[in-house]
Amino acid sequence: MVRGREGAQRPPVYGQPVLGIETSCDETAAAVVQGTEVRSNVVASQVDLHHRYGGVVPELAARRHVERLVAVVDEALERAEVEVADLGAVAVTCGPGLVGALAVGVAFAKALSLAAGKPLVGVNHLEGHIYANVLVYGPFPTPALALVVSGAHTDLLWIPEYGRYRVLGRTRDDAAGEAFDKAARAMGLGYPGGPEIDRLSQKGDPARVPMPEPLASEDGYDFSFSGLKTAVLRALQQSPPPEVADLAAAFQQAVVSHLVRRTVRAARDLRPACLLLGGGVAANRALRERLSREADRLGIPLWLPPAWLCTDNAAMIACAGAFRLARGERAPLDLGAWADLPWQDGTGGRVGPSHPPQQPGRVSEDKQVRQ
Amino acid sequence: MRVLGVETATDTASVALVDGSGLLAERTVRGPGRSLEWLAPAIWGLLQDVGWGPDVVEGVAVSVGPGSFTGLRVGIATAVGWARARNLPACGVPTLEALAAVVEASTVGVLVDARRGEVAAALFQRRDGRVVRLVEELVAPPEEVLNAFRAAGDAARGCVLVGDGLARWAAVFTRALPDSRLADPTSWSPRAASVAWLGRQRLLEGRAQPLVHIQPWYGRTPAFRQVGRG
Ligand SMILES: [Zn+2]
Repeated sequence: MVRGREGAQRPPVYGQPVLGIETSCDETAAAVVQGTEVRSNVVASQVDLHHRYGGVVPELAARRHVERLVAVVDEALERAEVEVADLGAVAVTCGPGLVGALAVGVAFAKALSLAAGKPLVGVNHLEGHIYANVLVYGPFPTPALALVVSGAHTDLLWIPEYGRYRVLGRTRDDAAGEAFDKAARAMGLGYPGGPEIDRLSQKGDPARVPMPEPLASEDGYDFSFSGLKTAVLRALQQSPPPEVADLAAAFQQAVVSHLVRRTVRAARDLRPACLLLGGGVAANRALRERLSREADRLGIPLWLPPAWLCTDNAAMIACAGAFRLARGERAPLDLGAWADLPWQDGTGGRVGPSHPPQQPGRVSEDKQVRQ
Repeated sequence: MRVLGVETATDTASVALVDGSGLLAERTVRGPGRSLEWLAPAIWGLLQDVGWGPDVVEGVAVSVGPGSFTGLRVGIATAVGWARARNLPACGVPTLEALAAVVEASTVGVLVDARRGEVAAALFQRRDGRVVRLVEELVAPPEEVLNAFRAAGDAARGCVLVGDGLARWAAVFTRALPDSRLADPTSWSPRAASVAWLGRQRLLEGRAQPLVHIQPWYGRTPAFRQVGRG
């Protein structure tokens, strides 16, 4: 271990090129990452496909993944100028997410790594969102406090050291991104709702529409967004209804305040060496600004991924995988896909033979991974 | 050419390795739970059975449906991932053709349970050592399938029936097609040996497909399309 910034320990990083594969929701993605350097990052978005349904259709998502994955992987390898034989390992998202969608990536990654004789590691998608920061700024100091906000999750995490997670709080109902989608739909805006509301908020005055403060009387670090969604619906029923821009601004401010208040409380209580933000909602400008101000006030460094790394991508998966690989982790041969996956564990708690298993007469893994 | 076959279109999962001499190894199980978890260890076990490493595989064939949506995707992603790793030629094999190919009869009716009261069906005739379609694949209620078979003329009358749809619909079909008979029930589930063998023929004929073209044949328009209309 090397002493890094803030005196925190620096973790070992896997040095060979890692192919990352991500198919947990509506982006088909592949990337090649070496250490913390992005050598390629290809994302085939399905947003257009799901747009007309106002949300992600699982069967459609899985179909699109199988149509596109091999071409996306080809492009990632090409852009990185590597062949499969040059890879050190393969990292794949195995949860949480849509099981049918995840299964496409996991099946492909398992077969590719098995046939090529490369180690495979399973990665927790949410952990990937945290590692988006590492791709930009390098390894973060620990202990760290992380807020992961996406369309399906709102988790506040304590990271005492690399690879260890303790969930401090999570949403009791809707995820933050889901709340944005639902509020946007109620206001007659497009899907996905987050960027639409963020854009419209700039023209609105949040003070014109009152919003409740979720869980105001409660200690702890949990979140709740369903009350804010209800407040939007109620405001729209008034006559005359508020200006949509004002309503959007008020809703966004309330969501952001709630997220920031709980995070700041945890930061005050636990004094982390750094604060990490991740997930699709991390692209929200108001959230970034508010959190930056508060982190400054607390004197805690805040790490924000750039917008292109906030949305789902495979570079973050490959990066998280590289850290797991460096700790000696390998996925079992019977790696599956999980709708829910505990933070602690990239493979759903499964133990089994490492992947690929050693076979007499074959070059050992150590020799294949060129030093 | 040694070809790896992958078959996960129905609730029977199967992997096999064939070469010009025929079958080298096969692992087949009905209801393995999730084929995603079963497949990779099964392929690895298959290679261990014959004592070889993954480099012995020279081509890949996969069953492309009709069948279970997730099963087809897992099988195809596995086959394509394997082929991509080593730049091997690969191709899809129609599931019902793989079922028909193992039945020694002049006319074969294939009936796979497609759930929701429907069967995935096709009628094949054996000509010069291969099977040709008298009735193209369709996914429909048994009555509709029977009409399609009858429309093929006299050939359907004496056909041999095969496929896991017979577990539920055998009586309906044997009654409606008087001279038909049932194939041995151990041949009702699609097997990777047949997929690998038919795939090997295709690959030797130069009919390897670009990997992006190896796609599931779902055989049914799912409900979400209707939801999206209007
Ligand atoms: Zn995500």
